[in-house]
Amino acid sequence: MLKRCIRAENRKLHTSPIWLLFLILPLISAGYGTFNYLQNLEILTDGWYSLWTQHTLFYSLLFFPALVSAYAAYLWRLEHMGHNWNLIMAAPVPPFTLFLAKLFVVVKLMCFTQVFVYLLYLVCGRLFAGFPGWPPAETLVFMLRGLVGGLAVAALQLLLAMLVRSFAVPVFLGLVGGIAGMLLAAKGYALLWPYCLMQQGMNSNRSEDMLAGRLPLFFLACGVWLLVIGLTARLLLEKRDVKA
Amino acid sequence: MNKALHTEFQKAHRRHDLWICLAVPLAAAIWSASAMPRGADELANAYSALLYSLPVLNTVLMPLAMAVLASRLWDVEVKGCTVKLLYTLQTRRSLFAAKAVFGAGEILLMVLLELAATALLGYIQHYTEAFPAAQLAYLGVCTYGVNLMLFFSELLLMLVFSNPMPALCVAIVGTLLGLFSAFMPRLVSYFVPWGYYVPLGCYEVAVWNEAEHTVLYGMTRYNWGLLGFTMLLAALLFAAAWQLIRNKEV
Repeated sequence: MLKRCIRAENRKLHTSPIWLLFLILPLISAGYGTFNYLQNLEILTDGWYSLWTQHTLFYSLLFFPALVSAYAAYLWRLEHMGHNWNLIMAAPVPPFTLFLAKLFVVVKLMCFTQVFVYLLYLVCGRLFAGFPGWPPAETLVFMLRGLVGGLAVAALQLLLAMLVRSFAVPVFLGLVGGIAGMLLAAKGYALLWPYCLMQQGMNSNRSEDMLAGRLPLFFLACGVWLLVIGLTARLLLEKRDVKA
Repeated sequence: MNKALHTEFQKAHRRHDLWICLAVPLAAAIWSASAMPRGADELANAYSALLYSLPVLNTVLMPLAMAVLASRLWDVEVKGCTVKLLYTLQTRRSLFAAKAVFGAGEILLMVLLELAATALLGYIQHYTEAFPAAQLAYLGVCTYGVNLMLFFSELLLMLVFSNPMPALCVAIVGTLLGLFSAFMPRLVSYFVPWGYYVPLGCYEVAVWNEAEHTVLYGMTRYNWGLLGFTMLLAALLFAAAWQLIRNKEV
């Protein structure tokens, strides 16, 4: 059942303009990151690590939440159009399966984005920054951790896009969530807000590991947020009346 | 016109646009407040620091907020497939004028709230620097001008595609470009309209002592030329949006 729903969601993405956003945003981020790194070589002395911070700082603080919000809002917008909501609620699948299928597709897009960001980092490091060899394995771990942290953001944005029947508002809320995450992380409450988790996982504003010694707590926070948001979505989808 | 505007107010009822108008100044105020000045020397330079950083915060927040306002204004007609019906009930001119005036009013409210929050922040955090009324008014005019220009560009995209997706995507990419242009040489920022908040700003870093982590801000000349160009762009985009409404087959 879930597999069929995922297939249906994948079809909705065919020839979607969302792919343009997926391509352009990481390219700009990488272009600026490399430029900034090359302009500040006397301050940024940690090689691959410094390039990583320049490539991912704004991306993980502000633009990743907005990007994931756009992915999520696009998938739900189709259901909010016309009588589609009635149609999906009357489909012979549990409503929560629809949410899970959308989550799967958003996570798939998120994976592609993260891999694309990492590839651009690799190419820019070798070609423009002129680094010999390969980036340290830690940066690959940062990217994967960012992906785990991003799961909560994806789930929360899907929930918001499901509840708010507007494409634009959840995207805006995603940006505000990212800003709030940045401020809360600076105060030391990083694990208490889902938007901080991706930022912490990516380790985008320091060369030393921000999660050193706190990795189990980080994974626990990711799991708890995902569970809470998933349960909320399930409760809302199964107990609330259909709103078309 | 009054009737058409009243209709827009009725459409906005329960659309909760007011929350967007409140959320942006609130987010900017909280963000600004998080960098609270400490010590006598920072308090003596606090308004300058605030007015230096506000254009950067606006670059992050405003393009997306403008896309949200523009898309919600037109999306209500797209979702309801009401355009054809509306054109039989009112003139195209009155529909467009009402939407433009309503949007411009929402933006004005947003800018005024942001200015009020700035003044309030200075009062609450006991800034000792003299209140820069003229500079604050200039910031308000510049923010309003850039916001209007971005709003009409997003409205134009909404009219062309009848889908909020392109407008939002352009706003996200524009925000990223605008933010990056703020940290690039000044010349680059003139080519990125989403980031015009920064080159229009009237403060700059005058002294930066890296060893003592102290920054002193100084005034620059008001950038009337760029402000005029921004207004011209806003007028052109307004005209383009009006032409599209006037000629579009529904």
